[in-house]
This record gives sequence, structure tokens and C-alpha cells, in this order.
Amino acid sequence: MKKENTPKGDIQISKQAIATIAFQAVQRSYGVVGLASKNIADELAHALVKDPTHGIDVEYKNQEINIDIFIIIEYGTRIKSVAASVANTVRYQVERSLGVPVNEINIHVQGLRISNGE
Amino acid sequence: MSEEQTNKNNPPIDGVQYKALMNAGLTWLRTNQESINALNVFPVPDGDTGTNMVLTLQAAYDEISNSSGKGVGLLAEKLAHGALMGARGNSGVILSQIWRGFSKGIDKCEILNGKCLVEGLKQARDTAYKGVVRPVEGTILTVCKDMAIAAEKCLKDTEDPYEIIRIVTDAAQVSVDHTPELLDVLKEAGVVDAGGKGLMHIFEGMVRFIEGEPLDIEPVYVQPLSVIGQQEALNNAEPGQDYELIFNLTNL
Repeated sequence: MKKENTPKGDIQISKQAIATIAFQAVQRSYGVVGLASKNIADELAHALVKDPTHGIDVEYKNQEINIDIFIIIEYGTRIKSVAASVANTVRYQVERSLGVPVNEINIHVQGLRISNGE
Repeated sequence: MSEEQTNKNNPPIDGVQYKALMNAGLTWLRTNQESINALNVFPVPDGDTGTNMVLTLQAAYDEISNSSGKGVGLLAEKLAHGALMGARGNSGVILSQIWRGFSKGIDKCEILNGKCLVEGLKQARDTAYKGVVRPVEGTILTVCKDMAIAAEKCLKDTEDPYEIIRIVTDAAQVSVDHTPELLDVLKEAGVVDAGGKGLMHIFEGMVRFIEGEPLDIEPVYVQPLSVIGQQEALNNAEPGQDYELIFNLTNL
């Protein structure tokens, strides 16, 4: 839970909320064709319960936000550029919505999708 | 323009002509680079769309500029490879996908005739749309789609590739002007989509080359003041404040 103290009380923003913002931004990023599981346990959990923030991990460390994103990229695009754009877009969207700076965004490319006709 | 007339003035699009057209597109894009940067508000307003597109297309063109290949299919493949390796930023990645699709569509062609060109544009659209989970309309993707639709439609009237380039460029212009209607962020900022405009400039550059117009001088248009929200500016003027007359010299 990210806490912010204001004169009138606290504002708490859950990890889930931040992950949802990031998730929406990732889905609209060009070159990303899907989000992936971090590991097998995560994969199984996702099979049972559809998580709206699947593939996004939000961590707080000393009041700083770190986001890990696990994605699948379209084969034939420049992975480095796609990953950089994703990080850039997510940072912009999260910071704009929360008004709090994001410390770190890590992109994990978990796989590539090869479209038909290749 | 009748078809015979065009053929007299314009040689068939072989490898050499293809390179010249691409070079024209690149040059014209570079000329308009700054004005495209200024439009960049989506997905992140960092003002680099024009620069990214120029660098990507430059990398693509470098791949074919010294190639001795004659067939356009082969050159298009090299161009796509160069664009992939040099893709910079969001718009650069999409542009590289467009050229990859285009090369898929014309890979059997030695000469770029009307049919090849239309097939290339169709494949460009299909490939571009495959690269994203949720395509956002009102972007370069929409412009690419509208160009492909226009190309398909005009094939029954003309098979002259030069005429088709003109038609798709006009379609791109219409599509670019329409982007704020599709994407609210653009409307709020009062701009058209930067990436879409960049794509339009590439083809516009080809048209200018065909028409023999200069490619390195940025045209200056004078817009009516109403376009830049004159009324709003007047409302903001405080009592007693003098009016300021602003001429907005913008590229359209």
C-alpha cells in the first residue's frame, strides 16, 4: 500500500491499482502482443483466477515504486525499441495518474510471438 | 491525367526509380521533422516522433542506397531489414513493421506496377495491425489503413503506380486531418497525430519528386487566426490589456 499523508487524512494506493494502470498502458503499447507469467506458480494461479494485472509486479521499497513487466513481443520488431517504449509509456501513464514518481521499471521479455506467414 | 501521358513522363518503377522515390520520401520527412516533433502528444508527449521516424527511415534507406539490386522486391526486403535494425521509438517500430509488410506484399515483383503497389500497401496495413493487442485508432495505424483502403479502391480505375501514389497520399492527408476525431488526446491538445503525419509526408515527398517540386524547403502557410482559437485568446485578455496580434505560420 502506498501511503500519502495529507492534512485531511491519508491517501492509500494499492499495488493492484498501480498495476492496473500499467496493464492498460502495456496493452496499448505497440509491439507487445501479450503479457506473460513470471513463473510456473504464477501461470497456474492465472489459470485458476483471471487476474486483471497478470504479468505486472508492483513493489514498494522505502517509499519508492518499482514495476516489473513480463511481456511477449511480436517477432520481427526491434525488441530493444519496443521494450524501451513500453517502459516509457508505463512510466508516463503511472506518473500522470498518481502524481508520484516511479523509481524503476524493469521489462522482462518472456517470449516472442510469430504471426502466420513467416 | 491520361495513362499514356504519365508513362511518357515517368519511367516504370524499377530498382533505381524505387531508390529515388524512397530518397525523396526520406528527404521530405527530414524537412518536416521539427513540425512533426511539435505534434507529438501520444502515447508520451516527448516530442521525438519526427526524429525517430527520420532515423528509422535513414537506417532503412542506407541499406539500399548502395545496393546494386535491380528488382524492387529485393530492395524492399533490404529496406525492411534496415528499418528493423534502425527502428527507434514507438513510431519507428511501427514504421519498420509497415515496411516489413510492404516488402512481403511485393517480394515477387521486379517492377513496382500498380497491382504490386496495392498488394504491398495491403500487407503493410495487415502487418502493422498484428503488432499490438489493442490498436489505438487515430494514430499512424489508422492512416496506414486508410491508405490501403484507398489503394484497393482505386485499382479498378487505374493501374498506374504514380497515380496510385498520388491517390494514397491524398487519402493519407484526409486521414491525418481526421485523427483528432478518433483520439481524444489529440483533440484536447488541438493537434493531428504526429506519426500519421510523418507517414503522409513520406508519400508526399514521393509525389513532390514525381512533380519535380523541391524537397528541402519547408513550405510556409498562413493560417486564419480563427484556427488557433482566437476567441479564447480574446477572452483571456484582461481589461485594459492591449491586444496582441499573433500570426501563426504553421506547416499544414
